[in-house]
Amino acid sequence: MKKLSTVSIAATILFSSILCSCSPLLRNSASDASSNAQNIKVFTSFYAKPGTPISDDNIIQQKIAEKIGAKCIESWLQNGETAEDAISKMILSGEYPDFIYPENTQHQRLIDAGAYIPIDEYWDEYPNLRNYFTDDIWDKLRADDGHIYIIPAFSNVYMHSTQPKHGEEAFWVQVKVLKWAGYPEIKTLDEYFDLLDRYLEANPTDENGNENIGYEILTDGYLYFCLENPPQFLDGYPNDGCCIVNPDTLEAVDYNTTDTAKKWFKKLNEEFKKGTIDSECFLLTQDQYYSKISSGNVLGMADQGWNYQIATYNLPDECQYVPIGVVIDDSISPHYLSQPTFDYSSGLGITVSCTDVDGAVKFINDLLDPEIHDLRYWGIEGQNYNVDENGLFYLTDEQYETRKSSDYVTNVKCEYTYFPFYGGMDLDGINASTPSNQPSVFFSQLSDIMKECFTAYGVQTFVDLLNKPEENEPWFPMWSYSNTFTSDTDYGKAKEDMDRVKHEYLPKVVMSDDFESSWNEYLGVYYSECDIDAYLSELTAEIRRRAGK
Amino acid sequence: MKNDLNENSKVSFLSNIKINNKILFVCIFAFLPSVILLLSISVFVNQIETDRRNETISSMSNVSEQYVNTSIENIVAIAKSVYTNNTLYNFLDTRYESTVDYFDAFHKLTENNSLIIAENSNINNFTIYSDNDTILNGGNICKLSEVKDEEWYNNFIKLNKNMILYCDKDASSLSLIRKLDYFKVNSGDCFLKIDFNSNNLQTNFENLKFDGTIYVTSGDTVLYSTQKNASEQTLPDFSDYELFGKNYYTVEIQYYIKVNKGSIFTVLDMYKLYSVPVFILFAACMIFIFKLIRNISYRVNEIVLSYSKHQNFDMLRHSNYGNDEIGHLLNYCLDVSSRLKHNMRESDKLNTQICDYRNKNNNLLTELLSYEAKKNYLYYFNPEVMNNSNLNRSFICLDEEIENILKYKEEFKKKFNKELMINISNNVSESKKIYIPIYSMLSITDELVKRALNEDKTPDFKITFSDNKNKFVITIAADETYFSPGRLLKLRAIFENDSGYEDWKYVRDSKYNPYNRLKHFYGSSINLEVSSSSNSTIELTIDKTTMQLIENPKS
Repeated sequence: MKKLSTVSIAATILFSSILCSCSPLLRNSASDASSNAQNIKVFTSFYAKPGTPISDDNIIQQKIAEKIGAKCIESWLQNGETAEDAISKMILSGEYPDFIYPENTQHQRLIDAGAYIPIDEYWDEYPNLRNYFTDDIWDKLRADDGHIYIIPAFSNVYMHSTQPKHGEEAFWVQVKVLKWAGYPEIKTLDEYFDLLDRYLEANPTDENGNENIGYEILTDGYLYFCLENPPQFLDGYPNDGCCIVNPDTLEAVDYNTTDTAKKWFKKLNEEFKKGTIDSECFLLTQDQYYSKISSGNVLGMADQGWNYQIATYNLPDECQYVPIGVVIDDSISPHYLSQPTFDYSSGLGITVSCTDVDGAVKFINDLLDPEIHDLRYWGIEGQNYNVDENGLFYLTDEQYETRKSSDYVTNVKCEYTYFPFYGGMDLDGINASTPSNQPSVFFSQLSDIMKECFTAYGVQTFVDLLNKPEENEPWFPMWSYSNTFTSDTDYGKAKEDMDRVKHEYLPKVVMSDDFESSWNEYLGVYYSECDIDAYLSELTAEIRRRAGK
Repeated sequence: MKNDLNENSKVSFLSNIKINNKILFVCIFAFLPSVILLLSISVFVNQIETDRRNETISSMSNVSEQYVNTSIENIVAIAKSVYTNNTLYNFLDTRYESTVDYFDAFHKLTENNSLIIAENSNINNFTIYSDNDTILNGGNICKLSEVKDEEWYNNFIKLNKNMILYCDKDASSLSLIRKLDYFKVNSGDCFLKIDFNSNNLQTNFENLKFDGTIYVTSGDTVLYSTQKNASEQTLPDFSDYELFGKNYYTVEIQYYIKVNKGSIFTVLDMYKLYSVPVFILFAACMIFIFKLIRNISYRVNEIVLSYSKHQNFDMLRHSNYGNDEIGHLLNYCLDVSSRLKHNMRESDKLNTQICDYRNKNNNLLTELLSYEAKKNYLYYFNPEVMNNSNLNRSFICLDEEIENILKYKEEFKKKFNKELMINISNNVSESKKIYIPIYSMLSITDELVKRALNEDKTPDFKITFSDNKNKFVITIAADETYFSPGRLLKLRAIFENDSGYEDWKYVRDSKYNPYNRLKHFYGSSINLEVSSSSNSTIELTIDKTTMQLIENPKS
């Protein structure tokens, strides 16, 4: 019995010893995780866009993490993966990253799948987040159950916009064309194409013998707005995208069939016949379109700045594009530049997979702190930017060049782009929120020919070449609503039918030898195959809802 | 008996090894089998690892070939679907009158299922080239005239096959090229070129989680590699790679495979279900043994160090040294130490008491001697003389004693009106530094006087004090009456060392004998010598060192 008791004690001691010797390991691993870099919480996020991950030891990410005690490992769409596929996989598995920023069409799917937590239940102690939007705007973001699930990140402009470049739609022309013509004042569609025609006639090829293309049109997939939506701009309306809004009657008007639309397509038809427009334009894929732009031979096009700019990075200075606010006639005021539009259709959400929702909300809140905001967009003072005696931020040439390097983008910069931020002015009210928007920085880095052009037109930035943005109407932009349409509804089906018909018939209208008959054929098919009334009625209802009528 | 001795000698040898060395030996002997075991395991593991690598290379070569095969066959199947597509041939065979006609046909073609299916993730790009001069570039259609100078086209013509694979060195990718001749096309030659999506192949390989390096090449062109940016770098030395190759539609594709050398951890990882608990148990045992022996070493060394430093165990009294044999041993030591200390304190107390008693005894003895001397003298002297003397003092310097004798002589003359013939000669250099027992010489003088008077003789004797460097000498010269043979025998007996003096020194009468007192106080440092010529002279020789000690008797 005594032996048995001795054995038991020995076994107990051995077991205790094992536990003692193991427990420090367990404690270490736990404490390693928690004490790793001073107990920094690590969140994960996914954005349904292509992107390049930053390095694990990104300097500013670490700096922010040290200050707020948290960081986020960001991921984007992988090679060949579509946003729809990525979101579908998540919904099927029920496993999400802590934060997610889907495309607008996927947002409603995630809400339906119950993928989000209601942010408004957690924000009371986080004023930066709570006050990020006004109550009116938050109310517009409420889902059918009354909760707020997403935070649109790209819609908050502090004080006023400081964007020097025009990233939205415009008629674009190479700066060398304007220089060749002596920097003429271009207002109307006829003047625009007249300029292109004259230049093309005088310069059918470039200095290398490659044929110049007077005007290019992209019609690949949803990017065919380059062809179909200019009528709304030509009539002086802002980019509601899916319709024109009559501000008096608060009705949606179909810009596809207006007189201006007919004039627009007639003009394109004329220019196509002249050879100003690329004869292959309606066959081009997006990559083929970019390829043509990057050749430097395309003199002009109508496009969204954000779409084609990727093809201009390697263009010579004289082939860079300048936006022009073209209208159908002199009596119309152009409206190419709007106050930044509020995109209600998508935003950053915290998912049900997040195990520390309060920490996640705090993370968003902390990223809106002025000091952290400056770190995100300007970097570390004294290293990535300097401050003069008046409090104005500026960059040395070296700092400016450094910012363009891939090393800076990967190892230093950490903007948390899809997390809420303030556009426009910096929160100090003195500087722009980002270096690229700081006027002094922007102008100093322009090419000589662009400086010459701006000087000729008496402007400082690209946006100065366009209209002064007016206060947005409450319903603006309507595309944020129409983008949520699905084919399950009659108006959604109508939208799909309209897209299909326009894709097929508008190129034919432009290329037709008999414009009138082609136009009429188009209208005939358009009205017969598309439930335009259902489409416009739904938009009108939304306009009036947004207008509070 | 002999065995016991041997055992004792062994124990003694082991017992003499310091405990830290013992622990070192224990560690060595405990870990040595473990190390041998680990070495054995590592040999075993190496064998497993070699087998694993061979198996991995074999399976990876199969998988790699399978991936490439599948990828190529997918494209071939797509190419076949396009190849046999009647609508496509109609489209290519038509001569278009206008761009509108062409667009119309093109638009219809884009809705053709075969071509839609063809645009899948296996393909980066597919293009149909035609000699039909009425077609336009755009989408998946391109004029053949624009590519007739390109290498892939010339290669295809040169090989004169229906279908080939072409390796584009610049793009590091494969393309499948097939002449479209399933139906007769009157508008001119048509070709299909499908560019592989190398990302697809890459994704498949990456999903393998392969621990090694793979290069899939065609000549010098890297089609896929587990090494990042391999296509931009010079090809490595493939000497340590396993190579196999296969020809696919005129293109030779090589597979170079190398499996990373695994460590013991690789094998442990393979058998982690068993190896992890065993490893944990082994580590725990090692830690336990280490902690156990270290605990013993620590406690023993602590006890030894503490005792060496403080020479007692008191500092350990409040520490917890466990409840095992070491702890018990320490407790025993502490008990013994306590008892020893207690006994030491008791012994000190007793010693103190003995000293006190000795002092008291000495004082009493001195007092008694004084009284005895006083009593004897009272008979002859004025008590005031003696009262004026310092009876409480045990010792007195020679000058004072001589002065006492001289006073005695004067008193005697006053009292009896008779001159004593006592001759005192002091030849001592520093008689103030010579101390003798109080009244010792006075008592001798008195005794000589009394003995002379008892014999009805006039006291006549001489006392001489002299000294040299080391000795102090008292010479007493008297008549025979005083130093009779019997008397000399007694005196000799008193001053002989080891004489049995101790046995009789406390006999009451002897205590007050001045000779006894001298012997008592000077011990072996005093010697008696009797003049050889006459028995009437004796010499008392005292070692000066002893006298200096007595100089300050209280010390």
